[in-house]
Amino acid sequence: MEIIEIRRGPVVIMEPRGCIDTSGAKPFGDRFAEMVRAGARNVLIDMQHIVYISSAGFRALLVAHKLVDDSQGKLVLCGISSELLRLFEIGRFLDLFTICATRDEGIARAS
Amino acid sequence: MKRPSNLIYSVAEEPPRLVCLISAWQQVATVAPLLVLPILIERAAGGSLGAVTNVVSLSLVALGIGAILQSLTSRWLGSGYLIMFVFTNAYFPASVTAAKLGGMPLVVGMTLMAGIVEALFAPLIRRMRPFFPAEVSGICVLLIAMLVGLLGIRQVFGLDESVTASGTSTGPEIALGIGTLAVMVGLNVWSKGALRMFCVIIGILAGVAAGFAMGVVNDTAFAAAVPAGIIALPKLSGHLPQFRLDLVVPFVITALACSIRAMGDITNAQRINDRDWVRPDMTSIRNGLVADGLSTALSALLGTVGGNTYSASVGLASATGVASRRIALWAGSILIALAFFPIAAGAIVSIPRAVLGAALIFNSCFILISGVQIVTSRLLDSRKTFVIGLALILSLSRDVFPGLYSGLPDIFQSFVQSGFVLGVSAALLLNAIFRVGVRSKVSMALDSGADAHGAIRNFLEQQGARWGARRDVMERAIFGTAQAVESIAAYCKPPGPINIEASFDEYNLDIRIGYQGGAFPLEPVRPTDSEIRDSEDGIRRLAGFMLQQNADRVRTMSKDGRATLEFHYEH
Repeated sequence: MEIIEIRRGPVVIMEPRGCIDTSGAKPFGDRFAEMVRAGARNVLIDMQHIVYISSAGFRALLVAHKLVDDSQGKLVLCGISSELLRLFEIGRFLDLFTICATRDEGIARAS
Repeated sequence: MKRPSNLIYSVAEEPPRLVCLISAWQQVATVAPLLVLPILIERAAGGSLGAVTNVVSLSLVALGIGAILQSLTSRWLGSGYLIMFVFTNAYFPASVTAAKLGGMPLVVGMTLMAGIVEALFAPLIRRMRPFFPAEVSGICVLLIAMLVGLLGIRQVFGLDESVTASGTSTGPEIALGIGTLAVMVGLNVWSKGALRMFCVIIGILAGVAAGFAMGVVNDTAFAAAVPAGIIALPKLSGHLPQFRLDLVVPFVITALACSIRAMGDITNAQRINDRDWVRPDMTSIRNGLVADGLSTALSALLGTVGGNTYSASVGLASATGVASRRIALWAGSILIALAFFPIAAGAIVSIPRAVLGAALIFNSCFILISGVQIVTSRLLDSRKTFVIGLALILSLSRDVFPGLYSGLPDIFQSFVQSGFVLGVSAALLLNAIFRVGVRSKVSMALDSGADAHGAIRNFLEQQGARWGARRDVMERAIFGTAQAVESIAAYCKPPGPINIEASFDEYNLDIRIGYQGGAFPLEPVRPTDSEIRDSEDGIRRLAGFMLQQNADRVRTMSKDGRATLEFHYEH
């Protein structure tokens, strides 16, 4: 899985591309953990290039959420398509994650 | 049925009387432009000025009854929606031919036959549904939008049917039309409430006022009606219907085209009144066609020309947010009442054509978008692309290059008498031809180590496009199948390939996944966040839960070492 990282002030923007499924969840999770260990506290995951997320991907997001929570940081998601949003809804994840419509909004919420 | 957010009053709601009155007048004002058609037919038959004015009064009665019949919700009659009845360009060429060959009695007789044909065709609609899929209905609506819009352009610029003739409208008339359109569009875009609701009638009134100020109102018809008195009973024409065998084909083709147009209009009316609209309600369409056919037959008996449902009135309801069927009762009553005031007929015909043209152009925009939305509500494959593309291009070519078709043998002339008939005929024919080779059940096999999501998406998207399936249902099926295959591969570890079979009809999509191994367990209850995150089977349990939530029905079975997971999606 390709992951692009950009920094905007205190916010680290993580832009994974492709599928966060059984094969994509591990590299995603490993990279996220590395970022937090390196000091990232305010993280925005831009999901505009994610075409599919499975239960393995949602577990990876849950682990990421806990890592940020444990380090008193903020995790925000943005760029979620209507189909992915539907998956968040049926998996009952909408109340757990902070979701913004745009990257700018996400950066503001994560700061 | 859920009311869309842009509607102020939907089909079953009862607006206040003032809203009903003004909305009804607005609907009446939009049907006024097409009163020009019976006038032209009567003139082609050699009718006097008095006969022309009388046919307008009789036409008002026909329009009024047509609107009321269409709004009925009885078991066999009426779609139940606000859709005005109006004289249609579709009948114009055949009616002019009949008028020249045998005068109004022949027009009346052939139109009566066409109306009866349309009413008799209505019960066959359900069986013939595969030949009228969503994209054909959408093409009808698109072609109608162009018909209405182009008629509006002709009215504003004073253009006749010839593509090379320059317009006869003067500069002030053109300015009047553009100004009227600007008022309507401006009110619709930038105002709210009553101003938006009544933007068309405000625009027409403003246009008439400006027309008087500019001296472009031709009140000849109005002046001719004054001697008849304030109130007068319209005289029945007394034409005894006549028939000619050589006119049967053009009138029957036109009746079929009007049926398809009515299907499109009724579908559009259903769509604008229901946020959750997914497919046409065929019972409402059948009853609407009966009403439309009977209205045409009644028009003929009254001594005027054939009509059809009016797309612009559906567009107006969408634009103003007032779609209550009660408006049809008010509008129908107003039209019938106006028939008893000869001056009203004269005044309607005296509205500057540029003003009426502006109203037509305004409404055509909403009809056009509705047609686009109907066409794109389903996945499209190359078959459907060609049905839509070729039908539209052929339709345009008939209007832009009429000489191209004038040399065709007589047997084909009925099908090319107008761009609308040609486009619809082409869509029906191509749709029927392209049904060859479309299977309702397909399958694929997947190695459990393969990139499941990509392969499944390609397979189901391609198949969904062939079937013309709804996008949202196919997305659910793609997720469900990919998640299931991923989970089966990870937890059931089948030694052989995973077989995926998909079957489809207009109401059901079923996906059946078969493999060697034990059944994959489904979860009725969502595991907790910590269970998902920290336990060994957290991912599996979340998958089992999401698969259950994603489909309308899920079944898992296991027999003789072979397991099957079945998903049912309502389409």
